Formats: sequence, structure tokens, C-alpha cells
Amino acid sequence: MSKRILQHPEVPAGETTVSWGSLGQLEDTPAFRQWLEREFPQGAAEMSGEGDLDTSRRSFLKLMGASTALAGLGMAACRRPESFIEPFAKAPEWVIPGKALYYASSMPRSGGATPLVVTTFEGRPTKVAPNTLHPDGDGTDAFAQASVLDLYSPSRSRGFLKSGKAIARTDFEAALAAVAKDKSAKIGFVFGSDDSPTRARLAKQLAGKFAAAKFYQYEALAGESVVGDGVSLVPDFAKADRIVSLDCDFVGVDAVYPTAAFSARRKPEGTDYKGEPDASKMNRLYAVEGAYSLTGGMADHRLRVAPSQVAAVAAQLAGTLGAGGSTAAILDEKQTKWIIEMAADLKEFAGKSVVLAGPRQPAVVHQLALAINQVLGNIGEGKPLQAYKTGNAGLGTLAGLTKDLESGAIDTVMLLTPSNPVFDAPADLKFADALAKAKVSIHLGQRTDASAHAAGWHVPAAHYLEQWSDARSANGVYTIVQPMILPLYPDCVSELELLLALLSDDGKLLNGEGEKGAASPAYAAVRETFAGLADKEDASWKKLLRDGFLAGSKYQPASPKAQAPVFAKTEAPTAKSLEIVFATDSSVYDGRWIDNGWLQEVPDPVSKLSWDNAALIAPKTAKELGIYDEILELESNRASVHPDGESGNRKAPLIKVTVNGRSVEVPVLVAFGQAENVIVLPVGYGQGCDKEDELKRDTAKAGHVGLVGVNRGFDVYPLRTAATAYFATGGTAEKTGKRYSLAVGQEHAAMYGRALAREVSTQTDEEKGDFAAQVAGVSKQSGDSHAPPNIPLYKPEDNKGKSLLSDPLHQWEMAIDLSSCSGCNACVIACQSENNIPIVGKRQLAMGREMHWIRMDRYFAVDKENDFDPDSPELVPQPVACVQCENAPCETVCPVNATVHTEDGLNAMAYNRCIGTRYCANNCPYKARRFNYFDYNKRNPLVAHNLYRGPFGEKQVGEAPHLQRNPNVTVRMRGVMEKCTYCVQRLKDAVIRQKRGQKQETLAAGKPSPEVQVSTKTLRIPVDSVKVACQEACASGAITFGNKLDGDKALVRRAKLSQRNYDLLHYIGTFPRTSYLARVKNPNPKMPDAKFVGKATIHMA
Amino acid sequence: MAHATHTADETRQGPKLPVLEREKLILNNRSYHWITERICGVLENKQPAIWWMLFIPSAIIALIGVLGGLSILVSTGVGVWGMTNTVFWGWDITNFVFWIGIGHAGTLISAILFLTRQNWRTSINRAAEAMTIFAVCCAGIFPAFHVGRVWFAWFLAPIPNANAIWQNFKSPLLWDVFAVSTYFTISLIFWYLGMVPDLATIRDRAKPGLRKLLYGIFAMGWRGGNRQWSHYEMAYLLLAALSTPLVLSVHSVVSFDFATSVVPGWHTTIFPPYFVAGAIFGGFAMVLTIMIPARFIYGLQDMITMKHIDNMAKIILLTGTIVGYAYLMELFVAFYSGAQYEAAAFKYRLVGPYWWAYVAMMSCNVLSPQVFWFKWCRENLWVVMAVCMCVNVGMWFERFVIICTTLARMFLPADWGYYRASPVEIMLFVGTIGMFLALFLLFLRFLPCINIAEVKWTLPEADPHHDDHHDHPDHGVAKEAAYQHELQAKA
Repeated sequence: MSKRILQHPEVPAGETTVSWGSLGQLEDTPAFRQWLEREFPQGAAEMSGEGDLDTSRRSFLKLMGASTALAGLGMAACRRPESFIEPFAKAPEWVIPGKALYYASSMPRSGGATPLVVTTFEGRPTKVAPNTLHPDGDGTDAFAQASVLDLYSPSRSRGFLKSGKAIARTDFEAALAAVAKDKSAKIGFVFGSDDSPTRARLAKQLAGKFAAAKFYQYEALAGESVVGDGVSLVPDFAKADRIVSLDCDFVGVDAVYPTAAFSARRKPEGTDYKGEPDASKMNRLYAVEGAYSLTGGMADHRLRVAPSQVAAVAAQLAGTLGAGGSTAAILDEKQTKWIIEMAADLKEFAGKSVVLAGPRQPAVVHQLALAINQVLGNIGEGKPLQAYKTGNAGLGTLAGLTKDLESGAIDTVMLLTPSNPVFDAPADLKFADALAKAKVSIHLGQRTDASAHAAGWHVPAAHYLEQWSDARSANGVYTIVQPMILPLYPDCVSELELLLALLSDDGKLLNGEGEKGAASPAYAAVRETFAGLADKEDASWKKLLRDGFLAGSKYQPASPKAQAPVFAKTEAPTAKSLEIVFATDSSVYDGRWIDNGWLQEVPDPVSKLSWDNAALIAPKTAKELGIYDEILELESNRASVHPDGESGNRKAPLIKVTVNGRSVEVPVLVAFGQAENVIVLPVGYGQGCDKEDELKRDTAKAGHVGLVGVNRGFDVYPLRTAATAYFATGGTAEKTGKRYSLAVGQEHAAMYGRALAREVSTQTDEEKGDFAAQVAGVSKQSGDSHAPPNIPLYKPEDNKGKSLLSDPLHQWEMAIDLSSCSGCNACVIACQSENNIPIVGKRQLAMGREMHWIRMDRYFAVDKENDFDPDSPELVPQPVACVQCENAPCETVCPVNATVHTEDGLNAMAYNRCIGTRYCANNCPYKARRFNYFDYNKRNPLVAHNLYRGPFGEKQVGEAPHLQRNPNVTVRMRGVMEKCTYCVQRLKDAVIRQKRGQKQETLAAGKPSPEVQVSTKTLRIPVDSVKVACQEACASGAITFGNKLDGDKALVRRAKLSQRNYDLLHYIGTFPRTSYLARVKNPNPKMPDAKFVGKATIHMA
Repeated sequence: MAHATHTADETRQGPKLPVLEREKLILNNRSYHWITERICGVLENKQPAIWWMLFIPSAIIALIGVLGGLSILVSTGVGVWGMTNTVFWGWDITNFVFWIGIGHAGTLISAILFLTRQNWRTSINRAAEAMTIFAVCCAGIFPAFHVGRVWFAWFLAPIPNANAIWQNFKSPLLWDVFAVSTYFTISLIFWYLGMVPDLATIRDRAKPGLRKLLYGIFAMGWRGGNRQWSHYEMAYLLLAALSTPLVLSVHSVVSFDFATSVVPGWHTTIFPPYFVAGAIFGGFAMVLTIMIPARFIYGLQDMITMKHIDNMAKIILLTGTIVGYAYLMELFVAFYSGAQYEAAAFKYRLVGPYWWAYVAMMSCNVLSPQVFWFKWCRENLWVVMAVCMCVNVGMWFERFVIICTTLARMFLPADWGYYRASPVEIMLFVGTIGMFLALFLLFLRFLPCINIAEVKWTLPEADPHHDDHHDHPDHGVAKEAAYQHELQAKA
């Protein structure tokens, strides 16, 4: 370990902040001065000396004060470029324990980096939030939110491996040096699909050094660019009035570009809620898809076809619009009419519409979509679709690498992709065999997965929060990746560091702290790249670090040419010849997140399955295959009557799915709204099992996964070939007689006639009137109009009308707009990371003991009269957390006063006072309270049966996860009730900051203390200046939060003044502070299914 | 049993009319001495083999179930039970309400029947009161230990503390704490006070030694003097008056736990009377369940007569019908109110996942006691025992239905779930049954199970007018002579 150098931050120019030790000092009263003279004659001299600022104690205090201000107020504060994280044995004085520091960074990923602001406490990154300054920084998805947990994951790889066995660092260094010294080495570099300018620059240098080197790009699920090498198409939803998704789940798992503008245009009042509801402000989304996706849920019109048939729909659409294709691709009359009407709508909005092809759909769909967009004039500057030249041109594919390995063109492999090719490459590539032929293979990864074991060498990778790098966002904005912490384990190496080691003459690996007090070599490399893009000025670099991106940087436009698409009809699947779809999983993605407990525990947004994958199958197909009765029987066995099963009792039958000559056994789950004769298999699971496995599967791969991922789900990659990377036809399914238990987060999918997640349509309804009438009727749905007024016994004011116990400054409230909420789970995980919410494991979740403070309810609504497609129900998500009732049922029943109302309108929990009678939770109509049945934080819930072993159980939950904890939120012990409190730690922080700012301003103005005037105006925090975690993470802007007393200056107040606003379970009279805004669907009246859209609740009596 | 009639004397008011003769409370003209011998014999003689056969398993079950069950619970967490984040209460509160309900017959018999001068109570009140005490002991375990952090359960007590937080007096759970603890205290004092003269009797019969010393301490110097009797009777009367409202209050307060909530299926005004009726119903069933075997084992048939059993069966019939009315009224109101969630809550009781619990409750509580309309059924002890067992089961299911069915189906279908008791939960309940039986058997072993003093009052001899010449052909001469003779013999 080299010696760490302690450096103080510079004093910002024009700094006027002062710190003080006591109130007397702050106010600088004569009495204080007198006291000072008496007590510390020397100190007093120092204090009075204004001149000698350089050496005095005062200047030291000033430094402290300046940093305090930065720490508290800065959004994206400057990170010192020295890149040292100080040990707290000798704390840097500008760090205040419990005060967060915020830095801009980003998460590199396929399709474009996610710009982030990272919260750190005492040098520990704990939480990520979107960087709203960034042009593409409109939100974070569940993966980005959960990524911070991976840093502290107990199953993280932390040492070098040789052929799967631990080995000393020096051995690897020797091997690496040997490669670096051999300029004739035939190295194949496999990068991920993210676009890093520094990596691209280094790749060029590497190509210069190693003449025989080749570069490849591989991620299991990233679609190859089929419209041109390195060309990407990025929609600008703000300009798109009509959107067609051809199996493109752009608000869900296929999220690669900013979607905030899309969600904003789902609000008929406009995103600022200033206007009247106006259907013409809304966009209209048509979705064509096989399995229900979140995009399908948001769609105004959804066409249910097997993924193989999407090409036919695209061809029909293209044919109708005169963009090639074929007008006879679709034979079904209803579907044809649907497509023709959609085409007419698109034509009307030519130049203001966009057709998006699913990234995993075959090339023909992309070509057709491109042709349609070109015919409609949707592409170009100022148009809704941009074509860019990315930096990822000229890279080979994994198939190419396999060929090169076999032919001997490549004999050294550097596996730098975040994917796990040995596990997730198409089965027919036989990549593992090819890799075994390599002379030297080096795998860089955060987990010791299948590739780590198969490769000759495994290098533990640094997390993106531990490394210097850079990336391009979706629109090509140059974005920095800066470290928040030195690698947690000293051997962790970043991708750039590894490449730089190869570039250096002696091949010396410098990682993390670098050497002899120098920063990581990656720092210099990134800085050099930046200098090439902008300038060498320190100021520009500092601005980059502060803002996180280089303003004005963008991809160069491309002009892709649509090749004449060759459409060949694929037969629609039948019960005898099923279509098998390899779906992206919303929890593990391609399998890389399998060891992330937060992602595993959060139920899938559509199927609500957690901790496993399952074959999803439409009810009709299940019936045809003869497995429906078995599912029904099993699910209703214990539950006695209900066909949809009950928590903890779900035992799914295992079916054997055969396709491409191989078969796997997978448990089956009925999925509503899925195309018939299609079996959807989410990928990425089944990476390893140990002896605790329910099915006693082979334990050979137990070392490939950690405690979270072990025994989880079923590996379906063996079925997948290069030609059938997304879907395969001709599959069969048969019963096996075996069973497997599944943990399903929500058992009941219907609203049972209760208008919970309300919905209206812009189209006139015969009974409920036009759009305006429907909007006006939102708060009256489901009998709320004739429920008698609920008058509370406890009055909020006294006899004289004076308000009791209420804060005149702040009254918090929240509104959730179901119209823009897609149900993506980002808020759930954001809340989990902000509020130290533990995971409980599969068994506990199956019992219904989840701890998520905000849960994503998902309802299906079937219109019985729907004669267009009766098996395609509407999907409405509804996030439910504690709604902070003003008249809270939980508060009156707690015998020990552990849950009480605060003066600013929160329903607070005093954990220390709670004895755990659970009465509050029973009386909560929203079931928003969560009970710590076990010591989840102390006793590892992932070790089998551990929770039930009590004092004999294993106590540690890994060695690092506690580092992720937010120090401002209590970690709850067992036996305590917990729930959402609107991130009270953030609210209190904001209020305190506001108060402190007052003092500072007064002081800066040089006024004596008696002149300090505080008023409601000065003490109240600025309008909309505090954000809660769920709101901050939400890419859809569905959650608004603010101070009720700001009136309609506050966004949340305006949202609540909208007629779409309604209280959940209004009739109980709880007066919730969180209300919902009804979802609006904007159907095209000419469409054959228009009558059945937007009516999930409208007719509920 | 045909009632004998006799013809009253002709009076100046009218002709002679046949009147029903009051059935004797103590049969076979048993004397004071016989009663003392028989009741004291239960605890002075060697216990029959059956006592040991019952006591040993009960005590083992109690030790394993209660001590073991609670050790697992407290050391590991409430998670060892089956509750979920939807159904937060399960067998714990079900058992609490069940046991509290059992305790109701004791107070009713000892207080209300005392005040209304129902002399038949004297044969059964001691055992019923003992049951109350033991049932409340069993009941208390559940709310005390079901909390997540039992080591902080003292937060429920209004003890001044450093937190400076007072209890929440709006919470029915806190009322529960007060109601149950008051009930327990008063019942205990009442029970003990009534036992003092009997303890003195046992003391007087015992040979000098530890036994005499202990009974002597607990008899508190009772000598049976007039002054003592007069104080005793006043105290007993006052305590009876004090505990009478408790019969109504305890279970009303327990029902407030549910009735004051906003939960559909709990939030009903019918709960207090319905719970009280149910408690008396269940309590009497439990008294019969225990007393019928006990009277056989110890040969107490002359004191606990068929008349007692008949009376209690009639009370079971009455309260069972009240409970049945309440069940139907709940359904009617749910239907008639037009309240969507209320209607759904009751719909799911009937056809939801716990329909079997509802069926069990209805058939055991409403249908089975209806056989008591028939005298033959009230006289056949097998039938009586069968019905009482049904009622015991049914009343447990009633609480289960109210608590679990309701919580499993509240407002938002998305959070609906299913609850299943875990083995640890079942173990604790079985343990409390063992504990209840073991305590009762110990009671039989060490304390007079029938109120010796009070039973004697019901004998004809205890009547001051027993020797009144109007009642006796010889104007009491023979009796008087016999008494004088006795006095002389003693002198």
C-alpha cells in the first residue's frame, strides 16, 4: 500500500461562509466577545484579526465551513481529482458523518449510459439518482437503482483465479506481462455493448501495438445493429404524437433511451399540470407484442401476436403505407382492419410519429420499421427519430470470435463484456469449446460466473462506482464515470486499467490506487480522451466532473438506408408446434444480476414472480396442452376455492419444453394477455445449484453463483441457438409430473369490482359521456359519489377555528399519476436503497412477508364485451406505499403510541417505541405496513433455514452489505413495524438546511443578530426543492411530491387540483395525503378495439 | 324426571292447588357431615389413577408446548409463526379471545347468579371460577408474547419512564390490557375470598404439620365466628357486585379490538353483545366439559346434579341461539348496508378460502346446541358432552373466522393472502390446553372443588325456618328435642 496523501480542497473564490462554535459566536454579541477575552485571550486575538487569513485558525474554520456548505448544498459537487479515498482513522475534515456528498457519474450500459448522481456517506456510495442536468438524465430504471448493491455484494469476486482456482496476484501479473510484451499476440478483445470513448481510443492504440488483435462486441441480449454498422436509432418522444412499438418494450426491459418525454405526454394536462385535460396533448401508442410487457400495458391499442408474427404485422403496415412489405401478410380480418386503421393514423401524423422495432426482433422487422419511418419522414433533425453513428462501429461478433478461435486467427482472448458468454451465448456456437482452444484467456468480471471458471484467468472487476471511465449516453452525450470509492477489494481491476496494462511496455497492472501516490492510470487516460474532445483546461475538466457530462457533445447523425426488406412469412405457432420465446428478464436481465438480492426479490412487473423464472403460457394454450387443470388444482388446493392461488401455496407443475432438439424442464405460470401457442422463457436463471436445491439438481456449478443466485430458476439458454436468438418455432411442451414452488408477489390479479386503479378514456363512452365528463367522474367511480360523507370525530381545529398541532410551514403530500406510471419497479428499488430495506428471501416472500415499503400492484381488467380480443385484458399498475392518512386508522390503535402524526402531516413510526403488536397493520386499509418477522438485517435470510435457527443461525449477511446502509435511516430490528414515511430524513434535512441558510445569509449580510427576521416565507423550503427517493428515481415523472402550503405553485398541488385526482378507498375517510390520478387511455376511435380501451374501472358501479 | 307434586294446605285465600315441588339441589338427603367428608375427601384421599393419567401428560404437554413454544418464539422471532404481511394476527389472537371467552362462565356463575340468588350455582361456582383463573392465565400468554419485542411489553403499562411517552388511551388494545388485568385480579380475589371458610375447614381437619400450616396461612385465621361470617358475606356481596359489570366489560372490550377498527368484517356495532353472549356460551360449554367427568371421578353426583347440567344446557341453548342470531344479522347487515367492502368481506367468509372454518363455526355453534330443546338430550350426558365439545371447537373457529378470514380479504385484492398456522403456533396452543388441564387437576388435588360452606346453605337444614311448625307435622318438636339432646351430649 502506498502512502495516502491528504489534500485539502481549495477555497472557492468569493467564499463568504463562516462557521461558528456557539450561538453567541454566531451572533457576535458584545457579551460573547467579553467572554472570549476572558477565557481565551489568545484565541480572542486570533478571532478579531481579520487580516492574517492565511495562517489563522479562522481560515481553517472557513475551510471547514466552505466544505460543509458544499457537502450540504451541492448537487453535483467537485470531486477532487486526486482520486484518494481517505481512511477514517484520519478523517478529512470536510466530511461530516451523516451528511451526504453527491457526485456525478454514470452507469455504462448497452444502448447508452445512465447519467447518475451518486450519494456517498463517509466515502461509501449508498444510492444512485438520475442526473437531471444531463440531457439524457431523466430517470433511472430498476437495474440502475439496484446496481449499487452489487458493489457490496457478498458474492463479488475479489481475487484472481486460474482455471477456477484462486491464485496469487503476482502469477497473473506475470501472465499479463507476457501477453503485453508479445507484440505478435493474436488477441481478441470482447467488449460489452456500451460505448466508451476512452476504451475506443485505447482499442485503436492496442490495434497499433498488436497487429493481429481483433475487437469484438458481445452482450447476450443487445440487438445487433442491423440498420448499419454502429448506427443507432434513438427516438425523441417529445416530438412523437403517434408511436408504434413492434415488440419493443421501451419503457420496460428494452429501455435504452430516455422515455421521460413519452411519459410526460401521457398526461392530458401537460407534465406541469397547468392546463385543462386535453386529449390532443397526449400521444398515442400502438403496441404489437407476444407477451404482456409494460409497454403493452401503457399502449392505447395492443395487438396480441406471437413474436414470429410481428414481422408479418410490420410487413402489412409497411405495405399499407407504401414502404415495401406486403399487403397480404396478415390474413386475419380483424387484425388487418386494426393495422389499416393504425396506418391511417400514422399517415395523418407523418413526420410526427415513430415506429420502433424491438431490439431482439429479426433484421427484417428493423428494415421494415426503418422503411416506414423514412416513408413517413420521421427521421432527421427536428424529427421524432434520430439516426446516430455510435463509436461501436467495426466490431466483430461472438460468432466471429468463435470462428477465429477455431481457425487459430485468435489465440488470446480478453473477455471484457459484462455478459457471461460461456453461459449465455447461443448454444450452437459452442463458445466454451472454442474458448478452451485459446492459449491464454482472461476474463474480467464482478462475479465468478461460468465464464470466469471456463477462462484461463479470471480477474475480479471493479464496480463502475470504483473506476475512472467514460461513456456515451443514448444521444451520444460524453458522460464521465468517476469513482466514489477505491475498489472495495484491492485486487479489483477496471476494464481500462487492464487495457492500459496491455498497452504499457512492461505490462504492469496498476489498479485502484495506482502506484506511489499516483492516481489510477485510467484517470490519465480518461483525461486525455476528454482533452481530445474538449480542451486541456483544468476548468473544463472540473466542470465535467461536477456536471457529469460535456455539454453540447452529441453523436454525429447517420443516414441509414433501408434495404429492400425481404419478408418471408413464418407460420403462426399452433398447439402442436409451439413458439418458444427467450425473453429478457426484468430481474436478472441476461443473467448478470442473478446475485442482486434487490432485483431478485422485487416481483416481475407483469408476472409478479420473484426469485425464479417460469415458463409463461396463455390460459387457452395451457388448456390445450392439458396442464391448465393441474395448475388450477394445485393453486386452489390449499386455498380451497380461488383459482388464482394464494401466497406460499403456489406449487407449479414442471413442464418439459423441447425445441431445437434440446429440452429443459421449467415450472409453468399462466400469463394473461399473452399470445396463444407461445411459451415465454425468461433467460438468465439457473446458473448454479447447491445441495439445498428443491429439485436436487446437479451441484457442479454451485461456485458460479453466490448465495442470492444459487438454486434460482431454470437455465433456458441451452435451447437458444444463434438463428433463434429471440424466438424459436416448432417447440413442444409436455408434462413431467414434477412440481416446483414459486414465490409470487401478488396473487389476485383482478380488482373485483373495486375502482382502485382508475382509468378513463379520451373517447366518448355511451354511458359515461365524453372525455371531460369521464374525467369529472373519476372521483365518483365505484360508488364514491353516493358514499355518505365521512365526518371525523377528531377535529383538525379547535373551537375558535385555530388549527391544532399543525406546522404552518410544511404539509407534505404526494400524487401518483397512473397515466404515466408504467409499473417498472424503479421506485420500489430506489426506496429499498434509500431506506435500508432488507430482503427476506424466497420462502418468506412466498409466505407474503415482503418488506418493500412501496409495492407495485398490478391489475388486469377484462372487458366481458370485448369481441375484438377477449383474452387481452388491460393492465394497470398501481404503486402503493403508506398514503399518510390525515385520519390514520393505524395511529388510533397503537397501544404504545409508536406510530403518531407529525405536525407536517406525516404518519411517523417511532421504531424504538414499537413493541410489535401489529394492530396498526391490521387496521391499515392499504396494507402498507411491513413487519420484521425476523431479524432480516442480522440473520442472513439467504442461507437455507437460517431465519428459523434463531440464535443458532448465521449472523452475518456477508461482510460488506452494511456499508450500503443510509446512515440517516434506522436499521430496524426484528419485531418492529415499518413503513414509508415519505423519506422523512430527506424532508428534515431540507428543512434544517433552509433554517441554516437563513443564519448564513444574515451573517453574510453583516447584520447584527436582532435584525434576523424569520418568517413563514423564509423558513419554508423553496417550492418543489425536495425530492423523495421514489419520485427521484421515476423516469416517468409519475410521482409528484411537495408542500401543500405552497399552493398551486407546487407541482403536486396542481396535480391534485386536477379532476383526475382521487383518493384510494376514499369512503373510509382516512384523508390520505397520497392520492392517485386516474390513468387516461387515448384510443383511436376508428380502431376496431377502441370501444374496449380505457375502461378498466369506468363502468364499476 | 317427573316432578313430584303435593297439595298445599288449604288457606283462607282459596282452594288447595297442586304446585310443583322445587327440585332438591342436594340429592339423597345428604348431611352436612357427608358433604364435608366428600368434598374434603377429594383432596385428602389419595388421587385416583385417572388423575395421574391425566395430569402427567397434561403437565408434559404444558411444559413442552408453553415453555418450548415460547422459547422458540422469543429467541427467533414472530416469524416462526405463520403470519404474513397481510394477516398479521392468526392463532395468537384467536387463542387469546378463545381463552378469555372460556373464563366468562366463572364470573357469571359466581357473581351474577349470586346476586340473583340462584342457589344452584353453589355446586359449580368454585370450579367455574378456577377455570376462569386458569383460562385467563392461558389467554394472557398470547397477547403478551405475540408482540414482536416481548422484552418491551412493559411499554403497555403506564409506568413513568425516561421516554416520557405515555400510552395511547385511544387504543382498544390498551383497554384490553386494563380490562383483562382487572378481570383477572377481581376474579382471583373473589375466588380466594370464597375459599377462605373452606380452607379453614381443611386446616381444621388436617393433622399438625406442613399441610396444616399452609392451609392455616391461607385460611387467614378464619374461625367461623358470627362477626367473621357477617364481614365475609358483605365482602362477598360487594365483590360480586364489583365483578358483575366485568362479565360484560371484558369481552366487550376484547370485541372493541375489532369493532373500533376500519376493517370490513370487524367494524360492526353488534360485536360487544355478540361477543359477551359467545363468551358465556363457550364458558358454560367448557364448565360442563370439565365438570361432567369430574363429578364421576370424585362421586359428586349428589351435589352436581342433573338439575345443574340441565340448567347449564339451557343457558348454552339460549346463548347459542343469540350467537346464531348475531351471525345471521352480520350477514344481513352486510347485504343490506350496500357497502361494497362489507358485503365482500362476508361473501368471502362463506365462499372464500376459509369457508371450511365458517362451516365449522356455524354447525358447531348454531346447529349443535339446538338439540338442547329436547329434554332427552339434556339428560343424556354423552349428548351433553358431545355438544359441549362441539361448542368448544366452534367457538375457537368463530374467533378464527373473525380474525383470519377478515384479514386475508381486506380492501385491496393485490394484498390478499393466505395464512396457515405454523407448527410452533399449534404447539403453543396445545401447550395452553395442557396447562389449563394441569392447573385444573392441581386445583382438584389441593383445593376444595365445591364450595363446602355455600353448598350447606342450600340444604333444608340451613333454612332458619327449616323447623317452622308450618312446614312440619310435629311443629318441630322432634327436631328440637334431637338438638337439645345433641347439646347435652356435647356438654
